[in-house]
Amino acid sequence: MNPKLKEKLANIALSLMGSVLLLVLWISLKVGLHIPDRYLPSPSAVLHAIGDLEPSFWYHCAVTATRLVIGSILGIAIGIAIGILFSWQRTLGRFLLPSVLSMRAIPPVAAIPFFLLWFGFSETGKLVIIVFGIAFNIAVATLQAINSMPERYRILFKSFNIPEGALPISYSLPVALETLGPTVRFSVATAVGLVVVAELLGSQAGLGYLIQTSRSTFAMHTIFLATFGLAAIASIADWASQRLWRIIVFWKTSDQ
Amino acid sequence: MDSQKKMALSAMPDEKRHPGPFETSPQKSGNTGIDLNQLSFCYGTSPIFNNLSIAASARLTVLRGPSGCGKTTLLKLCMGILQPSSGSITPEHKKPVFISQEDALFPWLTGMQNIQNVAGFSAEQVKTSPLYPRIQGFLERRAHQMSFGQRRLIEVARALLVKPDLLCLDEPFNFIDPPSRALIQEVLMEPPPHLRDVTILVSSHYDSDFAAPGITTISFDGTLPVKNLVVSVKS
Repeated sequence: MNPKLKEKLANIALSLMGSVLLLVLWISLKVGLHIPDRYLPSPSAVLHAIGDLEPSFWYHCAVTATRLVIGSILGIAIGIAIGILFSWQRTLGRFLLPSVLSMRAIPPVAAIPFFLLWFGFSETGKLVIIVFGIAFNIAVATLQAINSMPERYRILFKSFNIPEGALPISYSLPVALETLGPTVRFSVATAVGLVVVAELLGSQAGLGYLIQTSRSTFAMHTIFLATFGLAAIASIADWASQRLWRIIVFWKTSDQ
Repeated sequence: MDSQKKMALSAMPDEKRHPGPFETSPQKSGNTGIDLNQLSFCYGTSPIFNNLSIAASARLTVLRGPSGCGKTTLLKLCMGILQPSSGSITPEHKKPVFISQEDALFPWLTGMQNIQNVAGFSAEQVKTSPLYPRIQGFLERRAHQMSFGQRRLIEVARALLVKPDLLCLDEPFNFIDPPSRALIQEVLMEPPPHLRDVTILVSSHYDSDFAAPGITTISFDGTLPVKNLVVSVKS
């Protein structure tokens, strides 16, 4: 067998074993300590909850996933655009960067009341919360990537009389993209948290909404189900963002 | 190639540090060459050159010496990337181009795009490069798919297309295959007529490079700082 495939299969097997272990631990705690359903539901009760919900559990998953995907793409795109704009317009960058840096330091959750007041419970408000939470980090990382230009490119631009404030997009965008991978991964994880918070505060659908409504009815099995749904969405989003980034920065990953 | 002449070399009395053989080039053409007059330079508190004077009138000058002897620093000074703490470099070049040791192609672009986007040439203009016959086979390939030698050829082609008045090449033959190496040497030593006024400075630590007779060579022995050295190479 191909050694790479063998290693991949071993990794998958290990991950599955971890999940099975968690399940065994869960059942052992439930049965061994006789924990009531209102504190720790049984795995079967959680599974049954899938069929009990109206609208369906899958609908809530789809709503959350859609918000996550749209919000993340918008936040990342806007962040990159701001970073490139600041690299082109140095004066504007110097003027606005302190504000961006200070806004970056505000926990997005703390700013949620503003968004609720400005946008109510609309979809726009939820997306703005996600964009606000990730765009500034991406913008700062983009600007830093462009400013940390390797010496060979700095010399190249000097040789061909290209001012650093007017770098072509064919340079600044890829150079930003190739260093943004870890920041994007972190931003997607942040976005998952922000979607849930936005849904907890005001929504008619989504896993955050499901958790909120289940909390008021003490439906612990539904809360568990929604939590597993979120974990699955977060894992898929993390995997997908990494895969997508490998495709986008094809020149870095082509040898791997 | 014309006959060789020994280069006139003199050092200040308190320093006797001249390494290596020197040869003058008879291939001066037009207004080429470079003069460094009592040049001093230091990185922070580490002096690299102290009163270095070089008068080289040849079209092509090769700087030799071990790693860390100041060849790249000297090229960067000539290029204007670094500024000397004292002394002067003449003439002032209007269109200097520097090809650094690491390749400066954008890996996400094709060879053609790397030339067009950076140097602003049309595809038709690119075809006028003396290297075009050698690079056309991989010009549409992305740079990350090329070998180091191919990337270096694209870089040299790009540099020559802008018809620079000074072309500095820092260790251009590192990691490249012998045919590409020979080709680049050939183009630099025997350029087409419209490129004969380009002053070319090349650093290399391979003695086999530019070994043809008549090539101006300035050698450094690796001792830093280079003090009170006067080198005069007249065609």
